[in-house]
Amino acid sequence: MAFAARPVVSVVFTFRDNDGAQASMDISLPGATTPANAVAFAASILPLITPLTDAIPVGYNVIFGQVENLIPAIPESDVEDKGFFLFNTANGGRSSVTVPGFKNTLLLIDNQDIDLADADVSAFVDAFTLGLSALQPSNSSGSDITGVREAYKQNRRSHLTGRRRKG
Amino acid sequence: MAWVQAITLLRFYFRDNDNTTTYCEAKYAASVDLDSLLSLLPSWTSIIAPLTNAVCVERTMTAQYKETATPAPAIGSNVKSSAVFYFSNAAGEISTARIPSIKPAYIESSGPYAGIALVTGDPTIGAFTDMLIFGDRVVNPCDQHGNDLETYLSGMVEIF
Repeated sequence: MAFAARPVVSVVFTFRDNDGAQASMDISLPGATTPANAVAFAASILPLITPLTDAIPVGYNVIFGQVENLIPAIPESDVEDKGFFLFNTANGGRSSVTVPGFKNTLLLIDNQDIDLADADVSAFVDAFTLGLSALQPSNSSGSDITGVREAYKQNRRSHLTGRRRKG
Repeated sequence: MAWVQAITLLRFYFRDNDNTTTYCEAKYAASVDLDSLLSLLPSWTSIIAPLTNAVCVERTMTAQYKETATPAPAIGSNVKSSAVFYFSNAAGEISTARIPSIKPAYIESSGPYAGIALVTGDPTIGAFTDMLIFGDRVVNPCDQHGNDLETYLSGMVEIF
């Protein structure tokens, strides 16, 4: 098992027209492109795109990916059985994180609440509340995550990919 | 109007034995250095993996940028009408790039390809296609398979 960089870094621009419809265009950069260079490229090509379109650019993403190039046999699991963690944030808000395919062995005796005293769970929670390598996660508005509020297992629908039908 | 960096997303995609995939996500404020976050992907994978029976098959870092105040789009703009730019690539194949809602000024208005082909020899189109071929002197774009774009061939309008 080893993760390898995707062959390309993707720059995805999103445009909106006067009907409110949105569409995106993407530009690929070599996989070894650094974040700084990819971001600089996105900023420098955008002014060359906007004169050509009468839609409005509303945002862009620069996406770096790494893929597992040797996926092992996957044990019986269900990614919709999720560990749900609700965190408090410094601005008084909330932020939720889910772990797909959460292990039953990490639940308390009620078979629902997550055992926050477990060492692996604790390491996960600490990575959010205390930071990982001195980098502090936040919520969607950029406010630091400060503590865990509740954590339980729940079956939640996903935006599914890769489901195959047969017959 | 200004472009600002928004939240950066670290996503870890997990697959189960039904071949279904979904993700676990960590968000970081715009002020957090992207190089540092990219190097954090393996550490996060190691922290999440013991909690799940599924297997991490992919991980991504998405740096998001947004416009703080967007003007109204032009009347008649339509993102389903795209310009498709055709390039030859280093693998001897054809690669494409698209721009949604191409302005009518860049579409041929007469001749056999009126309403279909992009105008030829236009400097604004040339600036865009040259950027894809030659890059910004630091980064040289490619197609989604990593093939270098070599020559701009033609451009057409495509309506989805």
